[in-house]
Amino acid sequence: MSVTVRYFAGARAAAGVDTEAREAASLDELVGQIVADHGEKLERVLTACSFLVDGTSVRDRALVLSPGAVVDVLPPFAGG
Amino acid sequence: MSLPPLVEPAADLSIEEVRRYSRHLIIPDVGMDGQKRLKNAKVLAVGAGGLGSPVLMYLAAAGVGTLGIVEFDTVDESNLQRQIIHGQSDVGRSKAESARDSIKEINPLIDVRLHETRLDSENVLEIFADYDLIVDGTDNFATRYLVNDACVLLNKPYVWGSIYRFDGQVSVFWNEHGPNYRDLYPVPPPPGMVPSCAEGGVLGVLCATVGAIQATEAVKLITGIGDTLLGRLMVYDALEMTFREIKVRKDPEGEPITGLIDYEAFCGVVSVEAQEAAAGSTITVDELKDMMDAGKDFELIDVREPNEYEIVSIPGAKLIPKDEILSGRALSQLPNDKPIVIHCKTGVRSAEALAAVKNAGFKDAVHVQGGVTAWATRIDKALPTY
Repeated sequence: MSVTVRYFAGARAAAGVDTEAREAASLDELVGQIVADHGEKLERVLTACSFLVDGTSVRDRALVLSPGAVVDVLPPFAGG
Repeated sequence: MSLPPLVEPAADLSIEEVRRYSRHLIIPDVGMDGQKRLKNAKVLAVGAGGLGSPVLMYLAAAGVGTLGIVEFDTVDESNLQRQIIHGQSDVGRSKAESARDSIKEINPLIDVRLHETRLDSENVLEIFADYDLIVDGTDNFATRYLVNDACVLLNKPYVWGSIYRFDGQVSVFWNEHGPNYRDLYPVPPPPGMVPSCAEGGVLGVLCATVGAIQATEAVKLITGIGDTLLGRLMVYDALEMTFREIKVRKDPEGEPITGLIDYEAFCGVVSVEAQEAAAGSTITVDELKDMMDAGKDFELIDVREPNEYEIVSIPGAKLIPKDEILSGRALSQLPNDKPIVIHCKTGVRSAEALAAVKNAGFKDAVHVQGGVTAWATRIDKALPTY
């Protein structure tokens, strides 16, 4: 299942890329892949990130990804 | 998302107002009707800091008739790098009063209302009730969830903006017509995971970019023109100079918001582990000074970042950034033969590091309450704070 992952702010800095295509059937599988490829720094950032799958925030990592899904990885910050 | 105007138009504009707002009036989409809506609008800025500064100044100039300001803090010299509503002569003054003076100088026709209090679950609904629109420019997660939940309960729209270093995020939340903040960030990040601007820094001019977008969205919501950011999040990267857009939908499984909660507990200023580690293992800067003066043999470890260490440090402190300790990489650098004393800027990060160090078997380790900031204000006043 080909999905598009988009990284934002600190997640982008940790991953070193804006966007990438991945083959993953579930969010769990996707997270496993991106942590394996981008390393510990991204893993740390991910503990605070929202995962938005086609715009909807997902808490259940077992979520099945449909082909063509866009997964946005977004860290929060609260500065003002 | 296109929405109907939030505010009914005022009855008329004075000759003075027509002169002042002429560049708005000749835009067909704004016109007399839009300007009368702005005149009738009541907008509340939560925070008169980095984001509140441009928001308040531009909304004042735009002719928003009533501007409220929630702010309990005073102006500090370190605010002036970005909080342009305040000036040098305002240092030490109430931020709310300083902001009001600047607004009055920009536009004396505006009614300014000050709420010089810390927003909490007790007062938020009463304060928000009088306003059409809220603009959130606070600096911590607890207040952001509080603002969101209060807006949901009162059915009010709000313009949300957030900044850190070179990154900005901005959106419009309005539960009645689209998503709210919890649809984007259902739960706060683990305590200590996300540094604040005071800990991590912020590019001053970033406030202008994000705040100006917030003010733009406020004007659009009030007058009912254009497509707002409701259902969209703009993510700004000042280094890459890109704006990227994220679609945000209502979370169908989101818990409905039915009342206000204890937001400090919800967001946890420090984690439970850090609190437990710090209990009984915290020393003051005075005690640290006594240990030094008595010639005690111990290792003082500074868990801030290298650039912070460059600004100011406690003599003899060894720099090991917090992440190096939490990841376990730096544990081998810790001494087994003498006590460990950990400090950071204010005592939050050192408590997190202390928990990790204790877990690794260094049971006697302690951390310093108030960190290098307390050291510079109590022990060595020649040192700068930041």
